[in-house]
Amino acid sequence: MDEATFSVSKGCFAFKGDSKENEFETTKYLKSDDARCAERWKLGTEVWNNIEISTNEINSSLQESMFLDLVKYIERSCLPKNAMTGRSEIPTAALMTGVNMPDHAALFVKLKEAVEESIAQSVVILQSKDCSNIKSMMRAIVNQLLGDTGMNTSRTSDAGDEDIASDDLYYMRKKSSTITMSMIVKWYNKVTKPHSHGGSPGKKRKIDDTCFARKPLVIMCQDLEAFPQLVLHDFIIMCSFHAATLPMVLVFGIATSWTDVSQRLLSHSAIVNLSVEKFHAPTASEHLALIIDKVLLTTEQPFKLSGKCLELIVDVFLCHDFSITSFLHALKFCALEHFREQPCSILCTKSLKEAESVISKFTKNDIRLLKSVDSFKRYVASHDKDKQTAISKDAGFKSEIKKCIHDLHVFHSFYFPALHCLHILTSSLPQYPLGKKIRELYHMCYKHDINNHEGFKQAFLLLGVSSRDQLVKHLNNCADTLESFTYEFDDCVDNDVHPNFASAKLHAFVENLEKMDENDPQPDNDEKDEEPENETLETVKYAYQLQERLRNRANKKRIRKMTRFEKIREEAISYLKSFFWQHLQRVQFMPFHEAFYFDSSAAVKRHLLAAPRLAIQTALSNPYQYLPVPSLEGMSYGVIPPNAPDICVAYKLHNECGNIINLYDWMSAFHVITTTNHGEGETNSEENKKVEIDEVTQARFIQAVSELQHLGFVKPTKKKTDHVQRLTWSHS
Amino acid sequence: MSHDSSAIPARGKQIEQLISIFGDPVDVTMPALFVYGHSSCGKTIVLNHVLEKLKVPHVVVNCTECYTNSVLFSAILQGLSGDNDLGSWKCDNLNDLGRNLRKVYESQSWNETVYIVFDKAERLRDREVNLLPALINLQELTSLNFCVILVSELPWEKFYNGVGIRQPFIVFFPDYTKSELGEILCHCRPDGVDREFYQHYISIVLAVFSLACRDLRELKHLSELNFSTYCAPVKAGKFDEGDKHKLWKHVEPHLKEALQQLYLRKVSSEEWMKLHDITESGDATVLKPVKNSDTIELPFYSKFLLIAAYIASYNPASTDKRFFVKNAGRMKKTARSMKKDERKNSHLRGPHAFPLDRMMAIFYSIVDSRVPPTANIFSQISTLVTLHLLAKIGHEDEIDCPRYKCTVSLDFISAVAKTMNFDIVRYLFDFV
Repeated sequence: MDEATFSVSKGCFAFKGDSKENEFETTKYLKSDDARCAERWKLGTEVWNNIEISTNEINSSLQESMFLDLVKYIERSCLPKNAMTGRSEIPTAALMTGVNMPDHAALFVKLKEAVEESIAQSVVILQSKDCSNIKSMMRAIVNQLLGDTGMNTSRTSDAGDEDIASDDLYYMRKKSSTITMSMIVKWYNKVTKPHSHGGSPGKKRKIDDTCFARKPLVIMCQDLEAFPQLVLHDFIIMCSFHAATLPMVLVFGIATSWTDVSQRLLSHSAIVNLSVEKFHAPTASEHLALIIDKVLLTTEQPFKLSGKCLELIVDVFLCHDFSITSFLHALKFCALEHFREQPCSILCTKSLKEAESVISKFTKNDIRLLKSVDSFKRYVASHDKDKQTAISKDAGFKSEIKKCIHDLHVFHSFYFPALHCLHILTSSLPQYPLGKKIRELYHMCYKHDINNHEGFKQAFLLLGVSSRDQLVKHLNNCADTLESFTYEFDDCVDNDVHPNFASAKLHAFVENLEKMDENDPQPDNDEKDEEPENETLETVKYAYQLQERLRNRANKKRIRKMTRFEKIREEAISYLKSFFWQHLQRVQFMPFHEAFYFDSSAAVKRHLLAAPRLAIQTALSNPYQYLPVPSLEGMSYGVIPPNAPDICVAYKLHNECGNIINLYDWMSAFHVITTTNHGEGETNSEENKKVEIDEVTQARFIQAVSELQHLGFVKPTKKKTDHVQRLTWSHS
Repeated sequence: MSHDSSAIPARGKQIEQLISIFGDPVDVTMPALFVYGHSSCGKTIVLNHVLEKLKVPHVVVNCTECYTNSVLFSAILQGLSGDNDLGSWKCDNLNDLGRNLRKVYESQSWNETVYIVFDKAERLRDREVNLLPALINLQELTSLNFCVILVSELPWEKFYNGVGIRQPFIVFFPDYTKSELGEILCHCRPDGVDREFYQHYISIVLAVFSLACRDLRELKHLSELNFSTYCAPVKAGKFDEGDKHKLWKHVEPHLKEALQQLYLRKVSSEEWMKLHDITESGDATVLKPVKNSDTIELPFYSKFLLIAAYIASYNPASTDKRFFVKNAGRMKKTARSMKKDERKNSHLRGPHAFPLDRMMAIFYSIVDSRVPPTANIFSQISTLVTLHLLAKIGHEDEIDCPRYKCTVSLDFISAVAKTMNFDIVRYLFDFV
């Protein structure tokens, strides 16, 4: 360090750290014993990029219509007002964004781009953190305006245009100068003024004097709720002052509701200056459903989440924040963790051919790693000896793994169409035996064997009693869903359960059902037989005979009631059942399914669901987890070693106390433990009791207690002096 | 000097008064004027009109916009000097202001009165105590012919701040009478509309609203909103323009509906028109109820947190045991406990503050499933605070036991609880 300064005097010198950030090298963090790790990492990022691209597509397609509406509104509002609506109200778009606040930043940036592209020259996004008072708010606006049009102004000054005096710019750029709305207005008018002389040709714009259409200044308040009330009020009043001279549009991002904002946040005197129109952003849950539907549960992406993991991260979304951004973060974590941890994820490629070429390059080490995969071990165990020896050889293993991966690809290509089809069929049933959303269905199919699943049985019972119109509708929907997919592996499945065949068959059922209209009066024939039996009832002597006959008749009736419609219905349902049973098998029984499925929900929990309280408790009760000192190992069984950290000792002792703890007793116990010397026996400790507690121990104890108080385990109480109250419940 | 009263109706008297106060341009006027009247009663427009008409040097500064003294002073100087450069006048205190004013005055070689108008002058009270007295005495302090005009919505009595302050001459703008309102509204009628026809419409509007509202801006807003509805049958050719009674019958339900939402501005003018365009094309007499999209979609645990907060806010802490402890034992029914004290009804007295621990305890007991105490739960509390569904009480730095209040209404929380199948009324002490 000495060499770094040229100063001869002694003192503290501050050095700026290296400005260039250290390159983040992922390879450092990968496991070194596994040669294919880097390759997997590459593959993983590739897979994730694909997922990201498709989620982004969904995102923009969802928001497109809302953006279009908003842009149109802004366009309309900056048109010259006719005399009829000569109000000086500021056109304001209230954008209902929903409570998923982490997503809003991205939403507004995109909105800004959309608006800039089509109409407005200057768009400012204000965040409440920049707007604690008017001064900083104005500063934020100016910074963004100058940042945006900096290029613009430099060009005009090059052209020798003196209109925008550089002094002004200098003044506005200077951080210390206070900005007012009228300065902004003045500057904006200068910038947007049409240049009739000189200037670059791009800047020239024909502006009709009569129409006076100028590009508006769009100011967006991203999180309106968090703005201070006074600042917002003053800001609106200021804007309304200039509304007549400056075309201006406000966009308010509102997470709650307009009523709430208009009654609580904005005073009447401010609101009268606004002419508000409301827009609704697509809800986050719709967005999520689309992502799951279009990205996760398709054959497009090779990476798949197990039912449990999907449920877990969807639960985090639904229960906690509604944030798509965090959901995608979680998904990204899952994907990358999968490729980092799972050795056979190297086979998780989109096309079968890539996987095959990878397999052919396998080394001995790879094969050893892959042989230890659980599902494969199970698979091997299920075969006889000869086969096992064949597989254990490298060549045999390679061909076997090729077959397994091929099977999985085939399986997936039919699994997801069948899943969507089943969802279409059951999502409208009463009480939703298989769930409302496709993710619930997926989770069920992943977890249970559908043949034995209660919900599945119930769903098909309900389908079995559906009316003809419903049935026709269901079958048509199913056929349409099946047809909307493309199938690669045509030859790998029995013909009568192939989706194309299935959809043709479903169409045939529909046709039959519709044909039935014409020859409807068929069931009438059967009813004629019933009449003679009516008479025989009267000849019965005993009650039990009557019962028996009635029972027989009821049975007969049931059998006979099978009309043609019912026959077709049963046929169709049983066919569908076998179809689903064939395709919706549990993937866990397929060897090497781990290559595609990420199933470590524990890792997700550990990394994404932070539990600070739990971590503190673990640290205090079992410090060995964090401090690998051998003598601390016994802490978890209730032994308190004297060299444990003070706070752990105090914590352990306080755990044994009741609701209210006497500080002195606590301290003596603390003293006894900390002064117990190793191996010196009991006599010493008895002596210690009589000895005054020395100051160092007192200080250590007090510090430990105050640390516990800071962590929220105890608090001082007024009920008893020298006592503290426990804030956690004791186990006993 | 005469004036053209047709430009600003119903304010002729005030204009006369101002003109007579100002006198000839070269006359020395009174040092300070205080113009006050209720909001939107024409103070600013009259002043601007008079000053423009007399063609005297003047500057109008808005005290809301000029949020610091130096900004205020430089705005005055810039306005008077006609300088366009930003930041050309730097002026931080009153002394500099006086000096610079003299400079400007001399450089412009004026000899007439210069008027400085402070709009929204009530904001000046929040500044340093010596600012107002100094501005009022500006003529004396600079010994130049300045006239300071303060425009405010508050009476002068509210400007006493304990420092000696000379009372300026007060010009009062009284509220408009009903007939004056009619005159003004008629004056602002849209182009190409027959005056008689519009006047009749305005009289209907005033008849409906004048009991509830005299605010010109609100009335103007309302009359503009509903005019297209009023005109619609005439345009469609159903009634004649002179068919006043039928027109009245036609527009009255619409106005009555607007009366219900007076001042609320639940729908904007544009939305209102759109809404009524739809009804117009269908059946004009049937009004569609305004779609109420007030419900806020919240995450699962946020809803329960909000319910827990509501319960904690409106129940006394002593009753928690009764609601949330299983087998709490029989409550002793004494005569005192049976008789409820109406004064203690917390729904009448508003929400109470509660510590975080209490809310979490209630939260864990009302959620059916086991909730892992993750950081996400706690971050939701701060989200609720940002959304202003909860309010944090006390200082930001009280981190060991923060206290909150629940700020949502009973209707809101009932709607939330209903979506969770949670019968909140059973848990509220006021309703047991």
